[in-house]
Amino acid sequence: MTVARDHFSLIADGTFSEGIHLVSGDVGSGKSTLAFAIMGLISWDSGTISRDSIGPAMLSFQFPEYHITGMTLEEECTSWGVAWEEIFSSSGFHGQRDQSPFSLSRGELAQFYVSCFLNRHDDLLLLDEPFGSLDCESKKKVCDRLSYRTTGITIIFTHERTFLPKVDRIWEITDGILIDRGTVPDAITRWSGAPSLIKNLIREGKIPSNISYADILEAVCRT
Amino acid sequence: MQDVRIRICASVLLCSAAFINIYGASAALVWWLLFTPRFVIIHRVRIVISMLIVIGIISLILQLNDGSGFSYFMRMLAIVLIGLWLAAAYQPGEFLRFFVWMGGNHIGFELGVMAEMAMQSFSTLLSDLDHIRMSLHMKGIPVTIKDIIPTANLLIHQELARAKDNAELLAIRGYHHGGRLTPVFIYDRMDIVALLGALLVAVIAIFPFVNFLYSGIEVFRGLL
Amino acid sequence: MIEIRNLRYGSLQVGNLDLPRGITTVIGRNGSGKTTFLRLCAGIALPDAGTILIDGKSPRQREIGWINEFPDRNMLFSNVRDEIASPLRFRYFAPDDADRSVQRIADRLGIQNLLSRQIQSLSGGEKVLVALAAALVFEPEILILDEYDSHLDEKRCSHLERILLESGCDYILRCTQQMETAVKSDNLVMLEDGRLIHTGTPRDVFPLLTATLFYPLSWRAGL
Repeated sequence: MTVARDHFSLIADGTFSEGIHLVSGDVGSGKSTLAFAIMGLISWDSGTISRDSIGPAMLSFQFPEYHITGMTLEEECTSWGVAWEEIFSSSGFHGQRDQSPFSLSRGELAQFYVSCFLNRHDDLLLLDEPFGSLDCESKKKVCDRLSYRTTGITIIFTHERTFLPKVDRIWEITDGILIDRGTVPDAITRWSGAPSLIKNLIREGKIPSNISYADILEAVCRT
Repeated sequence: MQDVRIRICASVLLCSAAFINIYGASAALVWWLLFTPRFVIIHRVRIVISMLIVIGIISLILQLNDGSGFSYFMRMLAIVLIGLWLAAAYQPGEFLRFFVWMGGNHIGFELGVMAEMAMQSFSTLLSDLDHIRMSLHMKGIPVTIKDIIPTANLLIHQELARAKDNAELLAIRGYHHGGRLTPVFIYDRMDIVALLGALLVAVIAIFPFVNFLYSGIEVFRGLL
Repeated sequence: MIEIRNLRYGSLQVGNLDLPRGITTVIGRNGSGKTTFLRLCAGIALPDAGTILIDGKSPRQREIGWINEFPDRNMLFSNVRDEIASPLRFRYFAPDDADRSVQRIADRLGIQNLLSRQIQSLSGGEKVLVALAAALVFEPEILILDEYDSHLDEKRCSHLERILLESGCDYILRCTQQMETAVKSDNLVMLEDGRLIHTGTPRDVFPLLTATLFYPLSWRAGL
């Protein structure tokens, strides 16, 4: 699949199978474009994207306010097909059901929507920079919940450097090309855009078994 | 047509001519065929088609009612096409330069800033609408007539939030009243030819109108 | 010195706080009051009670450069040159001087190639650079950045960090969710539920947070 716009181009060739995939890349590399293309929300210039035996699919936008279609948080939950009680109990989110989504800070809105997504059971879940507006604790919660997603295909598009979930496969977009680095943990050493902390650990010979906070902490504490 | 002053002047002449009578409208359509890229630069084709359908329906009603439908259709078509060309040919920053040239560094600059921010708001409004559509599509919610009010509410909310951010940004960037800018314009020979063409269209429209006015005055004097 | 005395605004209550010259980073959970605090320091909002004085003057009497979290909401104009030149034009700078200043700041930030571009065509990182250029072009005394790095990759953040250090501003106030950025500060302020809970250098504050996720992972790794 190729996409070309005025100052940007992307070539992507690969297969995302069941599991959790991380797609990393610098800002402007094309992560969001790829996410939108996979979801069928934008057109591409050549090639094909096929979703074999994929049922419900969902994309989480980078900016959470783009999701708002209802007047209250409870309406929003209903629009996602999720019960308010599930959101409240599972995420630690402390809003009121009749609160306007616009009254939340962006971080709180991001927390709310990530909870909505993770309480659904989509075959394909695309998360475009899900950590952008979240604080450390919220990022960790999201990562922990993502790690529990054992079915379906989850693709996380992010340049987050510290709080990442356990993933099965790492991809990166470099110079407009999507590159498959392979399965974890081998992919970690091949990951050229890895966060500097992970690169330092690799240099010291302490290769983490995965890229989650706990795995990096374990590698850090290794003697 | 790179010079925004010439473009706006030509648009005013052409739209006025098209409004006056069918001769002006026909001449304006010929001008549009000769001097614009026509439909190539129109990106939102669905909006154009929707507008043309509405005009078509009104024209049909008028034609069945008093026979003026064809004239109405031609005149509105010319105005819509000239308006679309003007909007599509807009380059960011032009309105600021135009209004400063027209009204100076105080009133002109303020009008220019308002115009630029309005154009920016319009483009973000369309982007917000796209996101709402995508979100509804992903949620599996079909868009119906009853969604117009909540959608409008969302758009208004986003625009008000943006307006508040813009106001704060203006204040913190030191905006008080007006600003200083030396507008620079670039034009070539074809721009002048197009402007003269627009002037000719206006004359074509006015001439029968003047004749009509003169005939009207003669009839009135005869009655007296 | 930035002197804050008995500051109250809505649910934010900071009490007394002195911030020395240099880089001060505000950290805390989503909804803790970081943005509100920065807006008060920028003079965008006025306190319900108490005072903020920057070297003896109120924020509205100071030249302040401001960047908020959302790149799209930092833009008044549609093209880059007009956006960066706007603070100079509002101050009635001579057009030639304004053009020279715009070119100078664009060269310093490495965005000369963006001057003729439209804002809409820029990536998120490029928009932040343009917003920074607009904030720095009139050489403000104080620079205030509200989670400017939440949508930037590591490389871009490092580049911005260098620019901030070379900016020449007496005071830089920022908030971030990246603790690896917060360690590179002269002063740290931590807020929780609208209250000031810790203040001091990173060496003073972070040891108090070892049991939390706010403790920098690079420090756990001994880097």
